[in-house]
Amino acid sequence: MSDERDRDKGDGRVRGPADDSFNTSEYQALRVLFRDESQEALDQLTHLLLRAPADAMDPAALSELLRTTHSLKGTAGTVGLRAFADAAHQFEGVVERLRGGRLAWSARTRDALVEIIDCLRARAAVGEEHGEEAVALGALLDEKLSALTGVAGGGAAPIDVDPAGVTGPMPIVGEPVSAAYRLARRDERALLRVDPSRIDRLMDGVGELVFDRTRIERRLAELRGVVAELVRVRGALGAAAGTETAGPPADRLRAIERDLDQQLAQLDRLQRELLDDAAALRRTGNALQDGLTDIRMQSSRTLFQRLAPQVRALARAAGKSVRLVTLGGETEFDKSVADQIGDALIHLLRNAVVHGIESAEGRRAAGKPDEGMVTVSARHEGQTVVIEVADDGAGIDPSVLRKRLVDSGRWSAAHAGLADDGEVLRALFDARLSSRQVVDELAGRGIGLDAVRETVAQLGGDLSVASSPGAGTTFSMRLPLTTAITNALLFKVGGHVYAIPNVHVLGTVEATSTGPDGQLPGQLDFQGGAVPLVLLHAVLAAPPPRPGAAVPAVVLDYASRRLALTVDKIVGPREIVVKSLGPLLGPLSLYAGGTISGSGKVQLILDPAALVRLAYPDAATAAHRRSAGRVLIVDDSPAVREAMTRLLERAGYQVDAAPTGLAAWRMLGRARYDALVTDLQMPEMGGVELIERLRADPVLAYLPVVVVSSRASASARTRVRSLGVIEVLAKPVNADALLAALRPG
Amino acid sequence: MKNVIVFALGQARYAIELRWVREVFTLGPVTPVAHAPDAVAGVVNYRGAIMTILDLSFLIDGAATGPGPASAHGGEAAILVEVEDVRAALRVTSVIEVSTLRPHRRRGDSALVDSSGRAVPLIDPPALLARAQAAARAAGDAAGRAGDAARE
Repeated sequence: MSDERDRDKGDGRVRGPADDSFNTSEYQALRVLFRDESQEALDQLTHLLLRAPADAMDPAALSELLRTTHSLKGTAGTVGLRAFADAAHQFEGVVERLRGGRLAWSARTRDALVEIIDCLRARAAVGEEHGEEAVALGALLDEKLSALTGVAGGGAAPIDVDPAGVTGPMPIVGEPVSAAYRLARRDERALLRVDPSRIDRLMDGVGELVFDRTRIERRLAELRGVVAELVRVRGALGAAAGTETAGPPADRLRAIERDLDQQLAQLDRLQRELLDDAAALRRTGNALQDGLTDIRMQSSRTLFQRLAPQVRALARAAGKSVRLVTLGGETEFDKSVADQIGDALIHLLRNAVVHGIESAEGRRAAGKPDEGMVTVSARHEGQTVVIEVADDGAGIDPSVLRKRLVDSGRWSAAHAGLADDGEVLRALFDARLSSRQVVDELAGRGIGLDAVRETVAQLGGDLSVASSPGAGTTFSMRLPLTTAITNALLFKVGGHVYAIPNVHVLGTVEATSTGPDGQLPGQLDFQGGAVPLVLLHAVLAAPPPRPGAAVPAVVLDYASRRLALTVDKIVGPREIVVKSLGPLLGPLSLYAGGTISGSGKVQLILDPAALVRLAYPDAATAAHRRSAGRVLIVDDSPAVREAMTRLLERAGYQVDAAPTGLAAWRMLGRARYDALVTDLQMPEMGGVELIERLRADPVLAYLPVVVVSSRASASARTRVRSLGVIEVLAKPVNADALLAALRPG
Repeated sequence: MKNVIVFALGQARYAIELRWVREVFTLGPVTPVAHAPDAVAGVVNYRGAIMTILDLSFLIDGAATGPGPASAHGGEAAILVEVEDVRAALRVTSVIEVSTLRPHRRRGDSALVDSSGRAVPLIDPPALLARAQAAARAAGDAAGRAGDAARE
């Protein structure tokens, strides 16, 4: 490193950074960055040259050439690529001569300059000072530059001393540039520079795949249930057939049994194959996601580069002497994660330098060296990357913090006694502790940690802290290595934020009440078509929007069907990390998962597939509606069922009957009904529970219900009325009263 | 003798064996989940993962009133239990102590006796989680069927 710094001393050329800014590995990482950056600058130079006509060079283009070359030279010097900087310096000299008219512009000049840029491009791709390729390219560059400027030799001469008399048409080097081209071309193959937003779009597609897969798996679980039920029914049939003796009915039953067995075997096979297919889909999806994440991987070193100057500045400001040690620079993680944790990392460093490391006197008293040490490390642990910021400072005494928490009334003594040191230290992340008026060392350590935790939580990670009094404190950020990131639209309903995958969102509109009663319309106009409006407030059990007010609505398109959802407020599009709701809530089809907000709250992701089912109760239903309607009667007395069925059938209703609340609940799930007439006291599931279930169901919440009961207690009556039934009628039921209750309106 | 955590649910005390307990933590803001079974108070962010919060008052027969509706701001105590890789957090009014208690003479495994001689009912996490899971499946099935009905 020192030889590199001293190598060109005294030749008047570009200097590297004067201070001891970077160590060898830092320089290496910087040069990788420079390689990308320089390609853009060189492309720009080539573009400027090739655009210029052969007879005259535009002065503005020349200025642009100079500016770009100059900044390229500066960057190369900064990352310690002195030979490249020298070459750029010489190229800059050539452009200066062009501008000063000391070098004539011609097609040949232009081609020679483009060749030099190609050499520079290859030189930058090599990305190091020494080594065979670098030296070979350096020689080639020098040769071309000398040819252009008429200076013979190794190109050591600075350009600012202009060799006189070189003004005529310049000689073009016959030397084949194939070496440079080959290198440049090889680099193009090896490194594909892609706009990150393209990869993000692919990532969104993968996110969708995850949602689709979850749905398929949920359907499979349902299918398993149906098959199990069929097997049970088959068993019951077998038992029933067994009681039949010989004769034609028994033979027919056996034949049906055989048929059923065949179909069941078929169904079973299909189900198993489908399971295999779903597993294959999962594997492929995972491979795709891993592959894409891999593309976005970058090493921690790039992130660490930014830290050294920060720590120096912080230590200077705090009047402390602090050394930064970085470990695990080769650890790779998602670029989008790296981009977002930079500030959090710097915050933790500030915290360590300002509050963690003691003053020099304090350190001496504790028997430590004057110079404090802050270590930043990165390592992989399973599917996570752990980034730690550790200081060798005074540390935090959990017992002091524990006492503080109890004294301030934030924790009960029992809670503080049970919580381990880790949880006690965790309380530091709470904004309420660090915003105390009394600013002491303990409070100081908490300042801004809530923001760090927010950043980490947003990325789906976790922040923790460990400390040993006298020896130092370590903050650990545990971040996901692979993240299922997707773009979502966030909106608020009933005070909570929900998300919906952005790919299904067509836009947002405003729904305004039409009628005099302030009711929202059933449909909205969107892009020249009518779109059904779903009252999402009702689906999510939120208080309905104020009548008469304009309500924002999100228009979705899923499986070629459009629908609009009422919301309270559009929050906006966000990149979210999709997380599973876990084994307990996974079966709920309304949700595709959850995500964690910046403030650490869980936000639920709605599944567009479930919502579209709410908006499209299909054509078959409409046909039912044309008749008087389909009614389900629930009563444990067969006589009452029969009587009411006849009564309603005569009035033109299509009627089904169930003996218990549970049976009715199952039937309501299988077919669509326009109304329910139910008793209250029944075995298995009573009427009250049945109505409660209906009201909690997204589809059945608004099913009209009439209660017919002989023994309804006052409290049961109050309860069902609070659940919004149309009418509570006494048995024996009056036919006219029942029909009147069922009549719409 | 059993190693247990004793906690309060409303005015009543209960115990849970330490072998099921992974952690006692302070609840962050609880997000309610519409259409989840009654026993689910909502979900919270637990170290970057989504954790289901169970309301014990809906899961223990004859349980006293629970801690009341889940606070949107959090700050309540929760006991994280794990049974065969299924995790859930139990929302409690407060955590009282960690202790070693002897079984209740007449009530066998279902209750313990605390230092003042009172019977403390013992919670059975495997049964509790199985019940919560069955309820969740029923809720999921209902939603699925409702969807099918809507499609017909």
